Amino acid sequence: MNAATEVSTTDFGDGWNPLFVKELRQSLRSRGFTVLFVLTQLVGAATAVAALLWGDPGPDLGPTLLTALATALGLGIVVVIPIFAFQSLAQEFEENTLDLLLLSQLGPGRIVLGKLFSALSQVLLLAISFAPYFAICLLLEGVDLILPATLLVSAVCLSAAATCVALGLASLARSRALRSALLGILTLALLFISMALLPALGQLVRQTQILRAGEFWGTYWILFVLLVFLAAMALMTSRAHLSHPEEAATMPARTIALIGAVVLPFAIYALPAARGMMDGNPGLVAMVALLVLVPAAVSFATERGSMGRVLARQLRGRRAYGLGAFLVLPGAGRGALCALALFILVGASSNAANAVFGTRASSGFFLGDSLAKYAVLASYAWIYLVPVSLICSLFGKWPAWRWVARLAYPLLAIVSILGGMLIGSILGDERMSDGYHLLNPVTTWGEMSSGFADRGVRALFAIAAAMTLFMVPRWIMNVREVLRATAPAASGAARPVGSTASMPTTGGN
Amino acid sequence: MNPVLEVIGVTRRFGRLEAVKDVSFTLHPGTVTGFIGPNGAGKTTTLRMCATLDLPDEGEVRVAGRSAIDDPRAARRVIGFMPDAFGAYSNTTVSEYIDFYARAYGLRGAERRETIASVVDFTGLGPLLDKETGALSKGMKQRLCLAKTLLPDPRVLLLDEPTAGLDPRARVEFRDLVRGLAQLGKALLVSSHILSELAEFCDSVAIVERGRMVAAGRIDDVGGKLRMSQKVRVRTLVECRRTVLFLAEQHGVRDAQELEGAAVFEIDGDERHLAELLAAMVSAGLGPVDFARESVGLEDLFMRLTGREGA
Repeated sequence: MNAATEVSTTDFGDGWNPLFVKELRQSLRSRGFTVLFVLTQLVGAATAVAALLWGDPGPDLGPTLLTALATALGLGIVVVIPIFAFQSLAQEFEENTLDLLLLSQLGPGRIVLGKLFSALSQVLLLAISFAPYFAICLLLEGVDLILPATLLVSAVCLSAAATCVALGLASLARSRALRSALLGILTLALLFISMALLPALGQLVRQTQILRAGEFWGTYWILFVLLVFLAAMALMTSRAHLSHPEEAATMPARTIALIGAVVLPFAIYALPAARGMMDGNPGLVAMVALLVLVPAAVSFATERGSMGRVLARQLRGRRAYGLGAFLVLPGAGRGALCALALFILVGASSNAANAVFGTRASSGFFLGDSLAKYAVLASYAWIYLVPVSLICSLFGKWPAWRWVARLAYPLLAIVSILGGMLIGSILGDERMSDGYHLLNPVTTWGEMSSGFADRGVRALFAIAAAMTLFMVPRWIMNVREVLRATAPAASGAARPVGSTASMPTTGGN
Repeated sequence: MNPVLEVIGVTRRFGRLEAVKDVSFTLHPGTVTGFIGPNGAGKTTTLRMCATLDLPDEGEVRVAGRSAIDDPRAARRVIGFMPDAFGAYSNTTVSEYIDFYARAYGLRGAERRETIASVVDFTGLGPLLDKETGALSKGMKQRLCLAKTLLPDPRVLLLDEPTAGLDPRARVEFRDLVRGLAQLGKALLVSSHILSELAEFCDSVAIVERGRMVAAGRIDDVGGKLRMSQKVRVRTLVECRRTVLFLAEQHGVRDAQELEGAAVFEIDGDERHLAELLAAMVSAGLGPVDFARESVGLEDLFMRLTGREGA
């Protein structure tokens, strides 16, 4: 290699996120990834060979092989890779290396994104390595190109969202005990989701006509948008936790609240189901109530002590990113919304809920009517909190480009609505192309208002109001801190700090 | 010379515990300051606040004249922080580790290559570049972390217990590195429990206890500023016992005793008091021929300032 080539090789990636490069290099060399890669390849190859050699040649062979391959790949990329990502961030705490990273010019955002992209690269590598096996399915009867492509894209998207959630959880894991607990919960949750999706996978593979239904793609789009929101939410949480170590002090209380808020409703939901109260609106309402109120209350109660200091510093420093994390999605909102996202995901896969709880809360393959209502309300609460918080952010002084980041979130909500309309137009679904779908608040709220007397819906409105009430003191406090922090700067008055005249001096000549 | 780091009335509370209370000190270029205090005194908390890794509840930290609280990113370009405990990444060689941090500090192209070469040369890591970081000894890991810390060419270096767990040879080598850095004009704040070691390369000390600054300044000056007692050894033309009796009657003199043919005592006060005592001895016809202050050791100073002498 000549000198010029060596230099260009060395300088390659100068503009890349260095953490991404480092993480990817480390991961690909790690024993864990090697074992995972070899295992998935062995399973893929063995399954394909077994199907071709001993499978019954008929219309079922292709779908059966595809299901087996998708399951093997899914377990690898939806369960194992997010766990690797969790451990990667958690180890930064354990090894005391996070401080070193934060002291570099890498911000918390780039740290989180570096780890995310490294995990996604591994996911892509595994997915691409499975392409030949999926190609074999195409040669068999009963499988067309759209099906494996849809499965691959879905698995990658789900894996990306799961990785974001894993990173969000890992950012909480500052002690060894908490790390072990969170890792256990994450593993169980990912296994549960994977297992819960298996029946849906089987149904989809065997009833490929679903892929031609507008309703499927509408629902798919909604789930995709919700996944994006969930992923963005988890990333923002992770970034905020890395930027604000002050939150660490109240982290255990909020983590326990969050876990409690997720676990308890499952128990409450399961109880009426077990007793035959299948349509259990009370169970669903209780679930939403706990998911929203418990984290919101505890998060607010435990976090307020540190807010003033953090806000004051950020305002003095004219640095919007940390403040944005608090104001756009303050702690209480983060806790509540994270829980809501989980609710939506569990609720959306109604087949999974049926399988686990034996409920018949939904009537169809995808979102049932009642679940859909709650999902809509939850997603509206999610989306509408952002503009409200945006108004709060007006009290700060922001560099112009930060507005783009602030606007990105509500813009995403708008795009999700327009995207649904576009899909409706392409598929020739008049209702969707007219804007009638779950993420469009205007049409759906209008429709739901006719059944406003429904107790469950009323209860949800009450909960939304209560949640808003919980947020009000926070907003008032934010405004107060903003005014307090900006007032001295405007008048040029000095801050109440120690006097340099009285301080001892070391060194110097 | 303007200070490069100013810590002004910094206070940090953890709930009801006041970990650091109204701590102030400054660092100047080319000086090494020992940061001394018992466990739990607030050293690491103070260092972390200086490094922008934690926020003070009150007070200010200025780095090169700018507030590190308002603009931590700018402060991080000037400050290098080496924590007391840190891990090395697995599946990563020394060369990759340094290259990663160089990129993380925003160094690009030729500048990055030159900086890495210079830092590797300074820390003596050249022979280890292809070695895995996990396989390094504690001393070599400390060097590696120092190399990483030096990459952005910081003007202030905060070293938290840098020699803890090192063998004697590694300590000597590390001490030489610290001296070399001071000669390059960097301001160093080194916390350590090994006071005798700090005394070898520190120009100044900052002593904290229970979160409060007990004293700060040049080692020799601290005692004087705080009106500390000084130990003096004197030989006279007369019988030593007579000298001891004379000294015992003088104001401010304590523990006068005969030791190896000389009178040894402690005296409260500054150099003026010493001069007055010497004049009194001459007037009394004792004929002092040798009158020497014993230098104040860092350990002695620390124990006295933290009120633990004889404990």
